[in-house]
Amino acid sequence: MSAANRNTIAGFGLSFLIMSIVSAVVVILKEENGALMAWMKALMGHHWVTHGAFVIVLFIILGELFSRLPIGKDWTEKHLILMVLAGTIISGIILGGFFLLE
Amino acid sequence: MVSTGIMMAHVLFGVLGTLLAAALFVDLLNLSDANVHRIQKLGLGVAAFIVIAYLVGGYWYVVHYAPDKAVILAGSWPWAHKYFMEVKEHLFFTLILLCLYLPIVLHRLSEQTGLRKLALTITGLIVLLGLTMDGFGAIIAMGVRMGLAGVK
Repeated sequence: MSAANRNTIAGFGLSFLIMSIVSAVVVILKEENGALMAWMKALMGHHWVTHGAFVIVLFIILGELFSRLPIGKDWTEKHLILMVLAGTIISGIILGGFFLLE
Repeated sequence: MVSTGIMMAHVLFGVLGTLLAAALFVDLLNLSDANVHRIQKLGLGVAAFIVIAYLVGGYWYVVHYAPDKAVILAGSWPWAHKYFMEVKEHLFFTLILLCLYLPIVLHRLSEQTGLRKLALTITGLIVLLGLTMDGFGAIIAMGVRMGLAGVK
């Protein structure tokens, strides 16, 4: 596999890890901060629409940016698997835990 | 009626995406040069179906959900919204990101690239999250039913 392809897979893997966790943190921030919730509602008509657009667009932008970094050569498949599992599990725990305590 | 049709389309595309992901998982277990192109097409199919489920379900949630939410909150299962809907609508973003990442990995997949376990992990998580969304959706629908029945 070429270095560019390795960087792309690692870059978007890192972007997934960051954005899945950031998305869950944004949930807490908007639920706890009325001004942020109101701003997200005003921006695109509904806070959830703004949230989704923010997460997807940033995932693509960060993935493209990280893909330009030479990170692919240092990361094995095991690292990437751990990133994907970590992003999914941590975001799940944050969301499940937050609404359980709400 | 329109609202019901939109909701059914959301469920249909979500279930089809999850089923495709399960088929993809099995295909990945038997990865070879013979099925790699099918795997890549299945990956695109999974992403397409789940993204459509997201867009259709999102439209329903924004435009049609408010009356159902009021019924749930007034009924005997208010946690169907307060917990299950809240978690579902936000955990869906993790599922969407996995579905967008999947074709990026599969596009570079071959017997030699050593990405099979990563692809299996992503696909397995999509199946698990897809089933979770389905189960949570059933609980939310039951919350509406309990509210309409006036069971306290």
